[in-house]
Amino acid sequence: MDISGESPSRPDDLITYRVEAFFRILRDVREEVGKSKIRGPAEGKFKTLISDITTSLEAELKDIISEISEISDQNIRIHRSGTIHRIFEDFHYVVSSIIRQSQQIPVELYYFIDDMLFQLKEVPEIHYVLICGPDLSTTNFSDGLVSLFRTFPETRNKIYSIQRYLWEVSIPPFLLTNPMDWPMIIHEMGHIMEKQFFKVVDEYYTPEEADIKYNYAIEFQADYIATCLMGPVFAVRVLINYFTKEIRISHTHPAWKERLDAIEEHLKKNNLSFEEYKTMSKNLPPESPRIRRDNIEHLSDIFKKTYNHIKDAIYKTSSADEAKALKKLKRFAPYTDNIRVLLNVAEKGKKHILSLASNSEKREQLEREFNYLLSDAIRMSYLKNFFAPVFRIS
Amino acid sequence: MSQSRRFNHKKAEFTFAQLFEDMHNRIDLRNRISNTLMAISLYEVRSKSQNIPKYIEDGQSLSEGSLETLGYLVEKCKETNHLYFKKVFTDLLTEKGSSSILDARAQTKYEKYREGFQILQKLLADIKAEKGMNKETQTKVKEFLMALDREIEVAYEMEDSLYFGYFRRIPLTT
Repeated sequence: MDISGESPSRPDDLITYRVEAFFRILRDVREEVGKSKIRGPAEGKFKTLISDITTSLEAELKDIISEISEISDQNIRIHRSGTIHRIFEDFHYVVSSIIRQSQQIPVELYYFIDDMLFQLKEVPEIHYVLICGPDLSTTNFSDGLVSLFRTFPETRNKIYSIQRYLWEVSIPPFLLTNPMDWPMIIHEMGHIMEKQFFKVVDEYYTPEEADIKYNYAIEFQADYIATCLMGPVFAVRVLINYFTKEIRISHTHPAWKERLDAIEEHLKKNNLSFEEYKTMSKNLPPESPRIRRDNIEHLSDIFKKTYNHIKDAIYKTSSADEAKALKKLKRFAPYTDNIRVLLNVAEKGKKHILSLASNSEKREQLEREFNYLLSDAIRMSYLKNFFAPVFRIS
Repeated sequence: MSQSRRFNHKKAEFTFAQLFEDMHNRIDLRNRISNTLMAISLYEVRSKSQNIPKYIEDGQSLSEGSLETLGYLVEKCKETNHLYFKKVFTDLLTEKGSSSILDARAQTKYEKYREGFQILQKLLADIKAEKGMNKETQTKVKEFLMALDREIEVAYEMEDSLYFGYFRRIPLTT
């Protein structure tokens, strides 16, 4: 930390002096956030939250410094100063991480998620920021801030009233470049919907009473939501990921076979097939989950109640729609009528396109271009839907 | 055994969300300790700070939660819903799973924690009731809390490093 001016000579003065320098960190954070562009619909919410918090912290920091200077025990003064330093260090880190890691997210990914959420009439607006990280996982940024600022009681009390939920979804880079993997993110959106709105699992299990049942139930529920909303493409991506391990998934998830068996059952109920699983399931080794799916006694009730929240947006398709989409992709043309249909036929379209490549170099190039084609189709599809009312008026 | 040898790398396969929540639970716990120290120290100088009641409240919830958790872990008293306290005290008592909670060393630690929190509880009750403070008790509690904070810091220094270095671990894209 840069301290301008003359350094204090007594240890007590030095502690107070250093703590005062935290004002500069707060100004730096506010400036950094103000200048940055965060992609996605939550940019305004994120900036308001940080701006309000830094303003509040600045006001409160004066009292904190005054408290430190009152204390007679030097060891406690040093301890308190260290605590405040740790808090500001972390605050700067979490904010900078969001700014930096969100830059790599393609805007089409936000379009994909927004299009999906738009279909869910029962679900109010969700505020989320996507960041590029090593794994696929979700956390509530506001909860983290509330824990962080216990030593600033006034600021802490304001956080939830400014923004109760601001979800931070970490997405690995491999997943970012391949739109066919994007349905995996709907599993994370399923967690968000449950924690913020549905609260169905909470009716049956609580982390305090039955930790493992609760954890597995929310994972099965998120798979259920993603399967119902995305159709077979979600199932195929989960299956592929089991073999490739390209996307790191927490060890807190249930066994792969049980997850895939459940997903297959959901698809069957929705009259959709999961052909790939019939042959590939034989290659899944036996696992010993901490508890089996059958032991989660309320799982079918959880699915039924969850269904009521998402029933408007269940994936349905006709063979004619799929044929139309596939025909376009085989001609390397964008299909823009329905993003979910597009992604459900994308694997077949890709196979066809790649079969036309004469060598591995061409194949690699075509594969990359095919991913761009899907991104473009998603963007065009989203814009077409978004501007549909405008077109009608004109 | 050194801290790095005690660190279980297999368990270190955390996701970003797990590390984020773990880190902030830990900061929250250490903030409670810091606020408790402030409650005692500000009361000692008869400060007029309006935060003192909140700091006392944090101290009370810290001591109650810790005693309840320790009772559950060692004496098998009623189940606690302080999940993070449970994790931390289990790790501290067993040196992150490298020894049993029934070991003599764990028992000694348990006694030390229990005694420390019981004295803290009494001290905070006295402060709240404006009964004044015994200098010796006050020093003992401060030392206990600072040592506990240091123990937590040392026990989780690898997790802290993982958290702050997490985005350097992003794999290559293809």
